[in-house]
Amino acid sequence: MIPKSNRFIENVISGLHLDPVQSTEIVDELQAHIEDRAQDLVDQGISVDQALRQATQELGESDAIAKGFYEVHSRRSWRHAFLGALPHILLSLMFALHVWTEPVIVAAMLGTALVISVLGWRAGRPTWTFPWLGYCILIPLISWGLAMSAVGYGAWGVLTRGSLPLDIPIYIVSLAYIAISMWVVIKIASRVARNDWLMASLTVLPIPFLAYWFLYFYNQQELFNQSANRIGLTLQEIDSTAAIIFLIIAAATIIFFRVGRRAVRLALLAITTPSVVVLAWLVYKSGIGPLAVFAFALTSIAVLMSPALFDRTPAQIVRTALEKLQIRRKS
Amino acid sequence: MLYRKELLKGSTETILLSVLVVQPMYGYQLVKDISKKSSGYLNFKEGTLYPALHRLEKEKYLIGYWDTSKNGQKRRYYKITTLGESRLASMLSEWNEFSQAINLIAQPKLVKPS
Repeated sequence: MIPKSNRFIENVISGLHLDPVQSTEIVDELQAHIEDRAQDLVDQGISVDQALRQATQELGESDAIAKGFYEVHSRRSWRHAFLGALPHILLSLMFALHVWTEPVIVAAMLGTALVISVLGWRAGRPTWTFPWLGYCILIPLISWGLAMSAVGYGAWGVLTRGSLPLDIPIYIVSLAYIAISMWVVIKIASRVARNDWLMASLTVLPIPFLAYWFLYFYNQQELFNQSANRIGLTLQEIDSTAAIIFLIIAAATIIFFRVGRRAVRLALLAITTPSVVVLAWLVYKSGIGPLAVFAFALTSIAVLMSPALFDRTPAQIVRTALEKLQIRRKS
Repeated sequence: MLYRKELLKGSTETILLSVLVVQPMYGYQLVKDISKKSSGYLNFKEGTLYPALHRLEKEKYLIGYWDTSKNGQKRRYYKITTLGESRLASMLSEWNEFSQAINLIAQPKLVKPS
């Protein structure tokens, strides 16, 4: 019988990037084929080892097979793609209608994202829920910023005045919050990236632009001290650009779900992220120089590709798939 | 040979559905049946067969299910659906029109002048 650690099967498993259930079904099917073909060859008088080698060779290149399966199973329907793009479309509408400053609407948007992410997580993590999950990560990201500001302010107080400006419990709570929420986000990110790290990259797609947009407002805060007319016009231009950028992100999300090719998905994400940052810089005409924007664009690509760090090694993927296969065969 | 490969690539769906409309089969059984019915002319690159079967299943032209084969082994069978039968009918109709058109163009050249 075929040894479970057949190199060909291992190569196929590590190239599939599909959920474990799908991967084990595919592996089972391919192993069954190799067994049948090898048996026919043995019946013709060929040795078992030679029969297994020939049966495996006749299947073709493991990379090509894995790619074929990935393209079939990862390509999603228009409905799936639209649901995945919906949070970006809603953000675009919020900016287009200039309602992103309304607390009720922002709370409703974040609440919807949270509910969809939690329900999706419990229902097996359909991939269209991952962009929604990205907006849920914004909540801890913003609160990290506030917590780290409190910690930084305290450190500055100690260095300059020799005393903490705020009460000690605030610093303890801030540090604990940062540690716990980082652990939660990293846990979630590693689960999302487990089967296909590109999905985790899709999840964080809007974050580099949102970070840039936030920095822009932080840098341009004197705008809000000027006359109402001037503020209204400037805010409208800012909002229109943000609306267009979120539509671009929505379009990129739809294309991502509709194409099956991994290389195309990777290129799409790698191009979209810095492009929207550069577009924002060109339109906003902020005081940030081109070198800083270039550095920011490169950093945003690095952030987008960082989920690859959570990708399991081929050995881990193979081990998990073969364990599940053994469980299936015993049941 | 290259031309045959390209023709086979474009006809994969028709071939698979044509074989499965007769009876459900699993992958290796399909490969052998196709080779036998075509007298050895059509030999599928087996690695491309399974993604093609999965694609047809995803498009609801086939249903895949695990069952026990005659020799007691668990195999994944594929059975054509009603949608698959309609799809096959329209593809065969298109194929007949296409091959007739090719024959009409090619046939005069095959006839030697007396």
